[in-house]
Amino acid sequence: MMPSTKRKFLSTAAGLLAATALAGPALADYPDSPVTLVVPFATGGSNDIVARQLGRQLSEMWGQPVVIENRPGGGATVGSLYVSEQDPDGYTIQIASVTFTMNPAVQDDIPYDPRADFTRIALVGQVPLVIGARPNIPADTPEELFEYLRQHPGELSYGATGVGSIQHFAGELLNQQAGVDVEAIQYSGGGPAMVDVMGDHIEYSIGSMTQMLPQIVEGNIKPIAVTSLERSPAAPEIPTLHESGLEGFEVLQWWGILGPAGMDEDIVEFLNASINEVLATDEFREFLAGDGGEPRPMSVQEFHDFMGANFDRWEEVAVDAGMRDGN
Amino acid sequence: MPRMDKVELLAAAFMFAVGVFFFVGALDYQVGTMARTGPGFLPLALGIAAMILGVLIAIAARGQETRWPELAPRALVAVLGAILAFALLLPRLGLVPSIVITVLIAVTGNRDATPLFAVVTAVLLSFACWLLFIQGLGLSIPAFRNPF
Amino acid sequence: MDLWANILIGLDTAITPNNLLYCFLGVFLGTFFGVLPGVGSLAAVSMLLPITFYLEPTTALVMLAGVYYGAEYGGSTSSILLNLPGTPSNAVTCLDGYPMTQQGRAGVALLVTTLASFFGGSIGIIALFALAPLIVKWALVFGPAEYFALMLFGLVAAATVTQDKPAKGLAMVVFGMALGTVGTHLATGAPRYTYGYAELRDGINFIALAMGLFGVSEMILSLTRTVNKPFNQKVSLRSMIPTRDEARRTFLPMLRGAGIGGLFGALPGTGPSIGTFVGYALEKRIAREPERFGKGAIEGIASPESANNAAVQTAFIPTLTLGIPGSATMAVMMGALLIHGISPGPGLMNSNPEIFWGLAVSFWIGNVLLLALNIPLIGLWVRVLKIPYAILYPAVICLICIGVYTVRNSVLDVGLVMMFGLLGYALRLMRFELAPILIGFILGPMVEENFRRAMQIYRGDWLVIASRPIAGTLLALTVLMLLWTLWSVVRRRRRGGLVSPLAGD
Repeated sequence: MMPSTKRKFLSTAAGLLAATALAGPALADYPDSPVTLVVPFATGGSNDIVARQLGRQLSEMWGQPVVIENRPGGGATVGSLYVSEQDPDGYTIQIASVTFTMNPAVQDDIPYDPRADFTRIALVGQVPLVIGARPNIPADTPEELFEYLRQHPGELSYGATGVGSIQHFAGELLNQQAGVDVEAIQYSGGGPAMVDVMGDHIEYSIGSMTQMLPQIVEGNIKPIAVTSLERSPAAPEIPTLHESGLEGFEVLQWWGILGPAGMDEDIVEFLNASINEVLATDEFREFLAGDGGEPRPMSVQEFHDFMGANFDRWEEVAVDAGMRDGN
Repeated sequence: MPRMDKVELLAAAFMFAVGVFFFVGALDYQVGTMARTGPGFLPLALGIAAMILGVLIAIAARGQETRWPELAPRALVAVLGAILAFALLLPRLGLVPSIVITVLIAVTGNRDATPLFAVVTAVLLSFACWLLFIQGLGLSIPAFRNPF
Repeated sequence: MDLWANILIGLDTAITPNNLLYCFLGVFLGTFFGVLPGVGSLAAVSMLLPITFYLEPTTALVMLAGVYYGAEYGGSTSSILLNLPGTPSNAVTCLDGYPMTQQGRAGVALLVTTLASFFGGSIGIIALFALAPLIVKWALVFGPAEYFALMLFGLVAAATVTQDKPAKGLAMVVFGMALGTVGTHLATGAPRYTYGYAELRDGINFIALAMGLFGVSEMILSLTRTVNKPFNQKVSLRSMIPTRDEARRTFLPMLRGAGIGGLFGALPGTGPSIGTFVGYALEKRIAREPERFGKGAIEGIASPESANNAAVQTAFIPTLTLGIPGSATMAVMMGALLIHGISPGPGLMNSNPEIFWGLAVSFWIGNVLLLALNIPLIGLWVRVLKIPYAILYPAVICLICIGVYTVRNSVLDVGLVMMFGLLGYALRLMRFELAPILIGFILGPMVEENFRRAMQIYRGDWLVIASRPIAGTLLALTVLMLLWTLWSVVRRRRRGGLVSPLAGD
């Protein structure tokens, strides 16, 4: 366990008191036993890392352990199914990423209803992706890249990490908005896709900043653009697609916290407030900044609408791009 | 009828059945094109290969004849039953009772085991597993769970 | 020379008492976990990862790396003693290691394993020091076409090893590949043979497959043979020492294994197992009496063990310098780095030389510790076999069940152990060899994925793939190997041939 200083303890106690005072009787003693934060992915991935940081800070704040439980499998469906079947008492919650809202757009046999079977609690943070191209590609800017892609219709390929992955959605959205035809090649992870970009085997891959930036610094990968509306503080010299002619182009990786459907409103509000309090700390801000990301506090209602909008948007992209056909 | 090795014939039949299973399953999936092979491509090819290999094994079975192997139904049922019991009981009863029952079933595979030996082994092993996995390694399996 | 400067930087970091302590702790825990049946290096590293959150980044990595290669090492112990492989690489060790145990020579097998591991590990570390930047450049040349050709080469090399009854050996490779198709088809996302089980979307759990096929079926067979009669083992120091003939036959396979393992391990897309398969296949192929293999040939453990440990070390090259983990275990290790705020990548060697070289030196220290720890332990492990089988087998069942369950908290996987146990027992009665199943299972999906990627990138044009220098060479070698096998089968048939005595062993 983390050693906790006296000062920290006092501020935690104060925070706890304040939070308890605000909330109604339903959560008078919540949490009075350890809270399980399910990570539906294996140890060591981005979801796991974010969940562990959040869990650690929450348990310091509450003085109650937050237990991280990895339940990987089936592209997160195993863990999410498990959470959807637990008591909605606030003691089992999960981390979910943008792919939670993408999966239903391409996958028929999800064993739960992603929209109805979960309580949406809070958004944690978000981070843009970066288009990294092979070092010898005859293009330096987004405009030159589009031009190059248009000159070779049906010949070029990009790397993605599975049907319905965020990289696949970003790539297909790029195809649509730039009016180009680049073939998605599926890899088992962002790393292998990036290696094939570095080795000049495929044109580009739209991947995470954490993975790409070190290679960009070394000149092994050519950065073309980031996928957020505004430039990323982690790499302000890389332009956005939005400013390069693809107006409104935005694909962000985000992480949020969900619980089983039917959770007590007061507990949801308490969790949302606690999480937002963590997001406001310098520690958490710096932690996400390391990955080029930033905290995004939202109220319960805002997060609810945010997820709804995500579900709708990805459904539309998948239909337009024919992603269900498996290409 | 020529002399055939029955064990080899069984092996051939098994392989052929494997082939049929994967072949029929693969019919549900798209085969795709060479440039974009679909999910059915490899299973279909493997199904056909397995069926051909089944036939080849059958052809090679001619001529020699070997002893039919001895079966061990008691050991088979005890070992497999013990594992199945663990899989079914763990989520309902927790670790310690599951191990006790698993061991009690496993021990029946041994003709010489007395009831006393079975009980002692079960208690000792469940304690050892509890000590090692829950106390020592801190695995998040409940030691006991109320099934109701 | 730069190399010396690097080693000095590394020594500076690795020799601190704290790092030495955690290195020892990691190696010790790793060995301990690895020996438990059903707990492979992946499970060991995942379970211990949370403990390292509170350590310095370098110390954390030193410890986790120790757990990793300690577990790889420990896994071979349970493979040799009980025929329970925890990783694909260990499965190869079973082939000749377990027969040696049955012959009462477990001590020799364990000693050779220890030495071969140390030797392979050391070669791998030397490669890590001297060649890391070079290997990285070379590895990038490998695209999907090259990986496809390499995997196919490995598959054919492994498949044609079973020379007694080629049709039956090949059948098991095909069966393994078919089992490997269970799960999500990567390129289309289509689930195959999952029958509604979400867990099966990730494919069949390797540990469940290996434990069932090898371990459980072995138990059923042993129960019918010997309940209260343990294998007759000698545990004296003398009984660990190989015969002069064996010692002579150990060195070259170890060297070849280290070379093959080190080379394949450095490729980010292969993982450590293919090197062990190819290493074993090579030894059997060039051996003067290949029929000794599978019955306790010392080369059959020396080469794959050396290859495995060399690969484990060189696998750190792509992980640390490219940020690309070659295996699931490596992915967890990389996660550990990221948690500590260190991005592995080409900059790591320059920006944090103390971490990179400190790790490399600590790997070697870890290997020395492993050697020092395990030679005395061999006597203890061999004594495990002295436990009456009546007590040993229920204990092993419990360990397998819990081990398999904890890999991903899934009771379905435990159920699969039972099914594969039944299947393994039936296959042994039908006199099939089991190892080719695992090889097909591991390499099949890699062949499929890389084939699909290569064909997609080159739009279905075979000639482009065949005309790439590395891919073309590997494909040509594969064809040659097939022809050679075919020819030797025909030649043997003419001479009358051998009758396979390999029933169920």
